[in-house]
Amino acid sequence: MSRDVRDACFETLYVIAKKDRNVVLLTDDMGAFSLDKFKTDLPGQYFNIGIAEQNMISVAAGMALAGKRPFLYGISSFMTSRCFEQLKLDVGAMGLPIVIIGTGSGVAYGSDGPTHHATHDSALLSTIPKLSLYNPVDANSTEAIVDLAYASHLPVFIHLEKGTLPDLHVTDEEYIKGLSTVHEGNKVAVLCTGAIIHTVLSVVDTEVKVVDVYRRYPLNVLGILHTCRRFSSIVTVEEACACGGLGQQVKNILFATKGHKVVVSLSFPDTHIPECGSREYLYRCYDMDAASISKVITKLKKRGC
Amino acid sequence: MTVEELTAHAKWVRRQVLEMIVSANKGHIGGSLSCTDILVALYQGGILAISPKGITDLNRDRFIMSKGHACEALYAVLASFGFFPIEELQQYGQPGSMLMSHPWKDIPGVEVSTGALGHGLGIGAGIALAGKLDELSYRTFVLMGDGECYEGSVWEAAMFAAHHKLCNLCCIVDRNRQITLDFTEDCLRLEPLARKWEAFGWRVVEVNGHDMESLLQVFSSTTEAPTVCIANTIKGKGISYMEDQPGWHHAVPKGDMVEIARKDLS
Repeated sequence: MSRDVRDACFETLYVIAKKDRNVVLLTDDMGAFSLDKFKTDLPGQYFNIGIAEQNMISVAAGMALAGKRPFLYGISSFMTSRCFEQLKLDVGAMGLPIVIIGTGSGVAYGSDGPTHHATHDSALLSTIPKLSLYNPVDANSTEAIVDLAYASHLPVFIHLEKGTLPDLHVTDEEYIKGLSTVHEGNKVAVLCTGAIIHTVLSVVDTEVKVVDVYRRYPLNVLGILHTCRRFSSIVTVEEACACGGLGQQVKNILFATKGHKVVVSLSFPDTHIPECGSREYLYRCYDMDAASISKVITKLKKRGC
Repeated sequence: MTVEELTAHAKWVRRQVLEMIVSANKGHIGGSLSCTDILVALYQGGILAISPKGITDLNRDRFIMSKGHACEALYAVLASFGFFPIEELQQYGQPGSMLMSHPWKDIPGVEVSTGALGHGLGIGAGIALAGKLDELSYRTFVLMGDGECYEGSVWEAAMFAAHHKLCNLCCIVDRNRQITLDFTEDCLRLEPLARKWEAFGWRVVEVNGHDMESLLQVFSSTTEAPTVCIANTIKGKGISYMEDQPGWHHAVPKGDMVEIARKDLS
């Protein structure tokens, strides 16, 4: 039965922290219902740093240098651009085992506006040395990726969704691969990252293969090539800006291998998104809604594989 | 070392700073010379409980050179402390050298990579908090420039350290009153600097940053609050034509100036 992804995240973290008292949770004043248990039962491992992201990253770096295993929780857009230099130098350059859990992926904050949208953060994070970026899309993959992040001893950023999402994955998958097929098909391949995959899955049929690229960085290049080898028509879908996006990366990979394929990339623009509305409304505004995605796929299906 | 020996050693360190910068034709001479006595007091004065062999000891004291641009003084101190051969200093700034112009964590004795200002205090606060959680007795020292106090992140960290009563944290501000282009008070007033730190909940001690005895005394004492030592210093200290003169943030002495500096530091 599906669980709330935030519950999956923080319950997993609770179990880890209960076993390893070096695990500490730092937040920039961001709460979650499922965090309350952590806060109550493990008060010596929980710190509300205050609304000070630069300091939160530096403090986490110091704690990691002293043997702690910091997990940070906050809003994605504030945990990247606000404190980018701290991420680059204090975390990335020293390769410290810090896990950052960012809520509000893509345009999840919808009508909160461009200050809260996280469509540029993936591109920024791609430049952080040694950092892995994950976009889990259901409770099972969220749980597994939190475990994976703890085991990795390297910088990790996890885009955390909210609410109950349909299960696409099982807990004992080989998450180390960074991608997996969630729907089989034979004419068009859709490479997707992030929660928008649920929108994609609502419009596909047996002719469309859908691959969840849940690890954005480092990308599993061989896995992408393997997926694309049987298809001449490929669609990439992501809730991020085009610059530095999955679409660009896939095109680069295929170009480098002289793969003569048609690749259509659906993403948000590189500019900010000024329209006010829900996540779904903004999908519609930028042709990322189910109908628009379906139209692109249908067109490519006619072209054949 | 006695105070006299420490003072003599500081002069040796300053000479190394000069030679490194002249040889590489690059470096931050003014700020290296202003903080030399502070570094010598910490390392050779027996304040820091560290040793090259025990650099992975969990309970070692930590030092963070937050004003990473003054690394020439740090390198000379680390070399003379035994972290790497003194001859290595000749490689400073040369192609392929481990001694680049800002300290990198791979260099023996360097705890944290620095160079971008405003990072060291937050990192130091994190190390100090971890020490308290683990009930370890080590102390953490962070050396900042006074111009670094312009960075907002410094004050985020200052608030944090005071709130968490990080008495095992000592921040030293190298108050040489200059930044690259200006005097601090002409560019953007820092004063009353001590009162700012006090208002943030720190124990503030002002000292002459070139007086070994005063430095040793401040560094040895702790209270319930984190300590900030505002060390009043002279930018370019030890080289006659450079002391307190603007323009020596990262200028390199040339021609006769090199010989005068060598005489001053002999």
